[in-house]
Amino acid sequence: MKKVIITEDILKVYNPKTIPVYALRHVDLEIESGEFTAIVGPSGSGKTTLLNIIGGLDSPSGGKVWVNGQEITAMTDSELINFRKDNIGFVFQAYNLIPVLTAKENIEFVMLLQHRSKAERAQRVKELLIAVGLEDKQNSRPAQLSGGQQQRVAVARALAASPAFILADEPTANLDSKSASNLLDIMLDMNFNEGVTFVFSTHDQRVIDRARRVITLVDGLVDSDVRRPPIYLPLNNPL
Amino acid sequence: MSIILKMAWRNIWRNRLRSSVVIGSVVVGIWALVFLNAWMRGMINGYVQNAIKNEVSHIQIHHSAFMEDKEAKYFIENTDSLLNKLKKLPGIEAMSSRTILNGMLAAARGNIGVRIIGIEPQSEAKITGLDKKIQQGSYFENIQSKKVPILVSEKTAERLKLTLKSNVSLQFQTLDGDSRIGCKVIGIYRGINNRTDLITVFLPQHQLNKTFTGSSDSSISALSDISHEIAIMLESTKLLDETKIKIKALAMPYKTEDYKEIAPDTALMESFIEMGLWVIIWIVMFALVFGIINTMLMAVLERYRELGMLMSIGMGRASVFMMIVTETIVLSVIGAPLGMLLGRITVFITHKQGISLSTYSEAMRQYGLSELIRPETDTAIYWKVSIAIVLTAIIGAIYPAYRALSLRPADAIRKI
Ligand SMILES: Nc1ncnc2c1ncn2[C@@H]1O[C@H](COP(=O)(O)OP(=O)(O)O)[C@@H](O)[C@H]1O
Ligand SMILES: [Mg+2]
Repeated sequence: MKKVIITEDILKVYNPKTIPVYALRHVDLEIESGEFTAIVGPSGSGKTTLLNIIGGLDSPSGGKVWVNGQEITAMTDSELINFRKDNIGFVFQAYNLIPVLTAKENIEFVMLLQHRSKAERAQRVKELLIAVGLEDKQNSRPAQLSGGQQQRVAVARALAASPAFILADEPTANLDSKSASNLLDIMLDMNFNEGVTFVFSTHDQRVIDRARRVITLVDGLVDSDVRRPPIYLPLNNPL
Repeated sequence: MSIILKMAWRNIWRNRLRSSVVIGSVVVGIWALVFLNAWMRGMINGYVQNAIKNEVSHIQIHHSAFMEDKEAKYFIENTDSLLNKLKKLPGIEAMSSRTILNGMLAAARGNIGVRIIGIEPQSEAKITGLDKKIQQGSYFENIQSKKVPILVSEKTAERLKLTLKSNVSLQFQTLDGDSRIGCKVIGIYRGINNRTDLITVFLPQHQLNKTFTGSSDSSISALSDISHEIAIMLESTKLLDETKIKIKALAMPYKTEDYKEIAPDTALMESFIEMGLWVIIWIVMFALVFGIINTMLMAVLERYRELGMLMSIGMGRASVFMMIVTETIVLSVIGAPLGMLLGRITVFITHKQGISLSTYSEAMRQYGLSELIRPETDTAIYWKVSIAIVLTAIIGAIYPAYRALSLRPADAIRKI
């Protein structure tokens, strides 16, 4: 399988000059295309830090990161922004969406940044809205959507740019359990049927149960890395 | 680009109150700007028109040395034939020739130095409306006395304790020596400028010329129709440049000048309009720019996470910068048309009615300003104001946009 993410001996120290915090220590990881990976661990264990570094939002204090075969730790700031736009989809815990744009416009936004044609954008927005089950909400602004619906739009937005993988930092943290499972079903379904690679952090057991690979961080160190069959499968599982 | 405009527009309405304060300030600022400029323009145009109507007319012809040193020997010969030629030109409303001498007005209570102006009463009335300025007595009508009739100003009458029928004498240099004319005050006038009023007296030109040129019989003297000044009033100030050229050609070798050359204060005043406009623009825009910066900075800080998210998902720094700048410009510019419209309406109404400053009329008269001001604008002010407000917006946008750019996505996202 193609390796979409490789990290090599990642070190991250916050405030190195004052009160150093070792958020990540010697993290070596390889994530392959099509994986559905959960990064778990107690609060403060370094999950967000790791995702930020993999996503090129933050730079490590030491070590290297390759995404899609390109070394992102060697890129300049503006190269990184461009790279993120075309290669990485992000789903954050909250504030994912542009409040002044409708669901449809939010999904379309990155494609506009990519200068895709109008027809292509329209086609893809339509498909994604159907995939996340929000065709009827396409003209709603984020404030008019529930938390679960907002996260589904965020997933659709992240996918719109056709990235190599999607990074989701605790995507269900603010959701009730029904919305959370609903979101997870959608993600899992996309993973199964479209081969979309997901890397997400969580400490939500329902999310962990659906993952096929679970990487556990403790105090910035990889404590365990387990591949296993998922406990849940998507409802419309073709297998 | 259109998405940036769309976002900018919608972002403005996220905090209606705050945006409305900025928009309102822009409306008021621009309204004040347009009106103040129109006020100034009205006041200055009033001054210039006053000067044209009462003193300098549109165009004057002199002997080329006369304006330098106002000596009596620099006169125009054959005034009548020149006037006849000029009469045929289009666009001329009235003309008046004047003989101008420096002399001394002597009365029982004292003497003052005066400018003695010999006029042809009918023409002068048409040019400066001198006949309408008579406060007491009459304007060279029904003259029975053998003495030469003279008009003095209220100020002069006050100073020398003169009344109607007072006898005065004028002393001045003639072409061949000194002379003195005995005059009788037949009218007391009030001009527009107290200072020049005091030292100006009028009498009929043919009588003044007779003494000045020493020709007892005016009909046979070649010098009987001399003058020092021909004042020409045009049908409209707009005709100034084209008519001036034609007059110049006819009046050669004498010197033809327009009111801006004769009374440089009018030209200076006209340049004040432009200068004043920029001063007002500076003040208004300076005040606005702080409100704009403040509002946009708050907007940026409030949207810190959102901006971090936008940069995370691939919105480039240039686009973020453009987004903030666009938002600032749109915010600053929406109020402008309304401000201009209100300004226009205010100017329209006040122009029609005129703003009376009669409370200050004495002070205004000191400076030759009229007490009724009619504000007026020209169209150029609207685009000048438009450019100024856009520039203000851009200046106001720079710091907030810079703050937006300097955020680090990872930090901004952490705040989630
Ligand atoms: N900007 C920062 N400055 C200093 N310390 C930080 C910063 N961000 C995170 N940390 C610290 O780094 C460690 C890892 O944090 P984080 O990656 O957020 O963990 P998790 O997402 O697993 O809760 C924690 O001890 C946290 O306090
Ligand atoms: Mg975290």
